[in-house]
Amino acid sequence: MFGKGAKRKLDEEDDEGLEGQALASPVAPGAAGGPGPRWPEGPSKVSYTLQRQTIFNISLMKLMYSHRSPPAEPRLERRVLINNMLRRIQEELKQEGALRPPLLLLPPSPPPDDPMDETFREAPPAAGSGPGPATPGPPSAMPASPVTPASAAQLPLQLLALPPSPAPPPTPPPPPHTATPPCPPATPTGPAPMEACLTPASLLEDNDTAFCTLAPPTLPLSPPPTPPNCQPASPLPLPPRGPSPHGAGFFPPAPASLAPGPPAAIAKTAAAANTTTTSPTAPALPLPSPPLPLRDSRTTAPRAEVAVVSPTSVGVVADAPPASHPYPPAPPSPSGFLSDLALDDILFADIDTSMYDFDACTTAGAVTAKLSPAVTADDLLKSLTSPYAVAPAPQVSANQPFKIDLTELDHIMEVLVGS
Amino acid sequence: SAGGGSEDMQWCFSQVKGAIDDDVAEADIISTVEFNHSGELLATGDRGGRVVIFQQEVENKSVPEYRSEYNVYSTFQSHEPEFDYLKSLEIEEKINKIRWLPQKNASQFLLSTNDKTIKLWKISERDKRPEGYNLKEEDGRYINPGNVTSLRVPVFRPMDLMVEASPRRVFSNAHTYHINSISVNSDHETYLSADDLRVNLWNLEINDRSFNIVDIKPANMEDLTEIITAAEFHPHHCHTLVYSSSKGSIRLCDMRASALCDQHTKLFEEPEDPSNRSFFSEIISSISDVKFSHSGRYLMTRDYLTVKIWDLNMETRPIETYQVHEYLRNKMCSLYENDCLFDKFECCWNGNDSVVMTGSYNNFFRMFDRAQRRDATLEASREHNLPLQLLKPRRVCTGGGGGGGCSKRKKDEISVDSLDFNKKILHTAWHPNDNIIAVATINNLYIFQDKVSDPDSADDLSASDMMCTI
Repeated sequence: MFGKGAKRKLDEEDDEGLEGQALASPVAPGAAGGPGPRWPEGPSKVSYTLQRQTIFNISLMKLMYSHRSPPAEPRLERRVLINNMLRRIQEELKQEGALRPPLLLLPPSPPPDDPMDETFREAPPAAGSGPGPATPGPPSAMPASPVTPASAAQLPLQLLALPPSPAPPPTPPPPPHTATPPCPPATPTGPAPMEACLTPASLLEDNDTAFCTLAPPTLPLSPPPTPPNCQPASPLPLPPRGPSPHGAGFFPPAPASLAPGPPAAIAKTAAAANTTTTSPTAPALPLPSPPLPLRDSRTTAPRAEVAVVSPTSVGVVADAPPASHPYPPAPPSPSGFLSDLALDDILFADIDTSMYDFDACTTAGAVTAKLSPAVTADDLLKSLTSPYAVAPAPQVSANQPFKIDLTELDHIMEVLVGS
Repeated sequence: SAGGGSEDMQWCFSQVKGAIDDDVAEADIISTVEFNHSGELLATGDRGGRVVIFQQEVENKSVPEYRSEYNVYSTFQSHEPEFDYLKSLEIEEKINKIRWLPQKNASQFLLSTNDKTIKLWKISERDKRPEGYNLKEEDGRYINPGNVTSLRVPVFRPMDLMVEASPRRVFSNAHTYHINSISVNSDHETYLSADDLRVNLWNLEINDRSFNIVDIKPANMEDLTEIITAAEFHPHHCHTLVYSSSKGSIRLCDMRASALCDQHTKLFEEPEDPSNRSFFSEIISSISDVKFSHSGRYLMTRDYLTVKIWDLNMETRPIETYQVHEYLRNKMCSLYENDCLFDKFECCWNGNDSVVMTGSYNNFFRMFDRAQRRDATLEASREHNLPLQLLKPRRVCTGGGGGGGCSKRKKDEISVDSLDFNKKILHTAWHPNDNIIAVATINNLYIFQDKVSDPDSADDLSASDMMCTI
């Protein structure tokens, strides 16, 4: 087995190399005598980070997709174990964030009120028309915000926002692969084949500079030479959350705010993803402050709107009311609704949003006022860690979510009026 | 033979039940295997909700070589799929567990459960039927009373044996979560059923009430990090039960201490080995099965990579740990991806608690002889189906290098990368009094028996194929 920090031989099996690194995890803080996470050095640290990210993404994918038809109740043990995995990774990332404050500038922590409040559910209608309950600051204030452990927790979702393709083609995610796609894009029709999602360690070695860069001011200017199959399948993006004071989500506005390693890659791909939206002011590649929130606004808005017609719209999964049953298809927390819907939404960014009156693109400066607030990793985890959360039905196609929602809204209205 | 492990214990093929073709129907996937208390009956449950009971052939019981011949005795549909309209979710009909009741009279009783409902089945034989009614024809039609001119007394006449299964009790609506275990108490009056968060106590006679004895559901479900994975009553002490958790701990509860056994009497937990720590440490520590020894002195637990034997008197660590497939430790990321890391392997004791058995992948299963400190890897495969054919020990090579194969490929060796993870043996059972084992592959049931050693036989030369250790 690999000891901590042990270097791998280059000629070893790639899979084994990556797998072997599964053991090179830092000692957990709080372990007897442990001062805190001890990082393996050099390439093994990179591969550890990458593997952790991979596992995080895989875990989210597992929670999102139901393999059963007709849907049966989710297995609680499996969900609990996956949730614990996600929490552990998030915890680690939090602590890493705590260890590297100067390198990590993220949006400040979410407002103190509980995101699982009932008020949460009312936030989405307000999206696009006003800020959340907390006073939002302008996105430009974000670079100056101090790092808190909570904000550091938003890091994992940055790790998630990795579309499969490194090139910045102006296509919506998931973008087509130019190279052989061992990491297939997440499709709605079922769980993405995940066998190929592990990044071979050899690729990590190819891209040492990309992953190990600490503070890359010039980072976002060109697409990274990341391998085509570098990242796991899911462009799991940023589910909206309830009101957040700073709206613009987790994309740090300034390159200097990027954490080392994968966040750097994220910044690049965020730039790439940025170009996939129809943001009118987004330049092709760079990562300036406004386009990021803009992208958020473009993509979060429909989610917000979708959230308007939820929670019943989560009846994509089931029509059951969130009564007192153990595995309700609709998560009990509103953020759970949002996250489920958001994932569907992001997966189909070509959703026709014409029926929604939203002009966030014209409000780049005041974008925070309109944004459906960013979801932090905490919230995502919380929504996902609810054992009640059930994957959205993978059969939902691009335009249907909204139509389904409206239909169900009509139905609900009929029921309410009739009773 | 008394079921003990001997130096020369080798295993022979006896029978295989189930479809031959590789295209497996989901409903035929075996989900549980259980011998009854005498070993005469062997029950299997499948995903289609059916129970098939095999019976040991009476005529061959006394012939050592053929004593493990089992034939179908009864087949019945135990559970049907249900649809929970309130939640818009399906309740699977898959039989999660079967437990036999000790036999009290001519009939046999077993408990079978799916995710939500436990049923008590009575299996009875009918080999006589009354004939000669006054008012009924033989085919059942009633005779016009006006045509009856004489009286006669109906008599019982022999008929072809008919085995009937009838549900005597249905225990439902007591489990919000998925039932993973049932266990009959040694008092023969009560039994427990356990789901992910609760353990309930039932009286076999009363099906409209159950008593909750363990509840680990947190006030806020978002705080849920640990669930119950298995539970069992002590074989002799009717007040003692254990339940295992997804974090690798086992709690022993004494029902005399309090009505609600949320506070455990004993907690069996082994500290984590820091050198083996990984992302998957928790998942592989989750206990998939827990079984008391027949003696009641020991406890066996199965987690993903190991089988552990605990002494009930020592909570700090197991007294024995057996590696089932340690070569998988480097594959855990892939196994997590394809969900194999969540496979729930069961384990079982032999009759005198000297050997334990559990399943693995590639249709391999493992035996650990506690007394002899030997272990064996055997395969359930249709390639070795000659009657009484000896099973050759298998070996998995972990060799490094680019090929990942064995350096010297022997016929019985296979490399880790060649293992078929779809061929998993999750369910095994050992005859309570004999060296007869039932091993379930995905959709086939294999029955093996130990080789009957004949001092005069030349076959003893093949004893050079000793069990090899990995």
